[in-house]
Amino acid sequence: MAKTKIDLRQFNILIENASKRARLNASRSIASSLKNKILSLISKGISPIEGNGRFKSYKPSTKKRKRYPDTVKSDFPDKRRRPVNLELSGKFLRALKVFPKSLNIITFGFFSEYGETLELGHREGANTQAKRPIIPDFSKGEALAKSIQADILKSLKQAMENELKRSR
Amino acid sequence: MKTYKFDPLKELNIDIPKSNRKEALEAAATYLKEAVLDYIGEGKSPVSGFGKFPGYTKEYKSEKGASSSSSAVNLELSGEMLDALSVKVTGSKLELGVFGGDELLGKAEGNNLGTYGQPNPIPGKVRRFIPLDGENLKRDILRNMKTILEEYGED
Repeated sequence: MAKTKIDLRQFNILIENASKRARLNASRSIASSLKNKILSLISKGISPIEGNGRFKSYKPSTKKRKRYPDTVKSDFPDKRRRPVNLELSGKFLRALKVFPKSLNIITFGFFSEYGETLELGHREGANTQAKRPIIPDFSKGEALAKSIQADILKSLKQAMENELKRSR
Repeated sequence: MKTYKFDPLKELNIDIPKSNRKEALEAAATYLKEAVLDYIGEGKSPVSGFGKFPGYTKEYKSEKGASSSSSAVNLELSGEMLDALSVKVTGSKLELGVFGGDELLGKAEGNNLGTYGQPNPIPGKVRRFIPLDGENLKRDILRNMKTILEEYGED
């Protein structure tokens, strides 16, 4: 699930009758805060998918077997066991894109081959790593973290309030 | 280590039909866990009246630096204590706490009360991440929780 879409129609009931301008402002604001919030949660080791909580920790190295992140110490000396933030070089998370596709749709996810491959690896737990999906698969009942949903509602309410103020 | 129990519907003055109540409380519990972890991850207390967590000692900072890349006072060394942080739904209440063995509870209490194995709190070392009796969660957390719960307000 390297990329997905949010159908904002379910949230847009609140501003169904508001002007196109309010909806445009809302979708821009949501897109921007969505990206920030997803990256902010991941940086603290928290999954942006509802109910997943904290990312599972890295398995410890043993005498017989070195495990990640100990295996990459020579190339990435600053990488630590905590937080589990899916960040090594930073290239993967920089590949996350979020943009309003239309008034009702925001698209977000990984659109490069590199990003798609790594997202799939995290989602499926490639190479015996723990599963750490970050893009919700709405078709399987996954949802964005509640705090992100709350932010979306907040942005919509804000857009509505701004529109009301403007029309007074 | 005491947990923090509260009735969100009562405290936030929200009426939710009985048929939706369980689902609503579970949604609120999921949100609360995320929000508390989010605050802690930024080195900030999720408890009203408490701001940024006080800094670590130089020695502890250096010990922590060996296993964590975060410079925030995020209560995460091995990660076990925060992995054990959870919010349970018990009846009409939410129960926020660290659920685990004595060692984890000791760590949690040390941070929360600022005791760190001492009989009395060490001044300036309280890192309150679970409210005590009479304390509340931050207004922002409660406001978002209210928004989430209100979604379940109608059948």
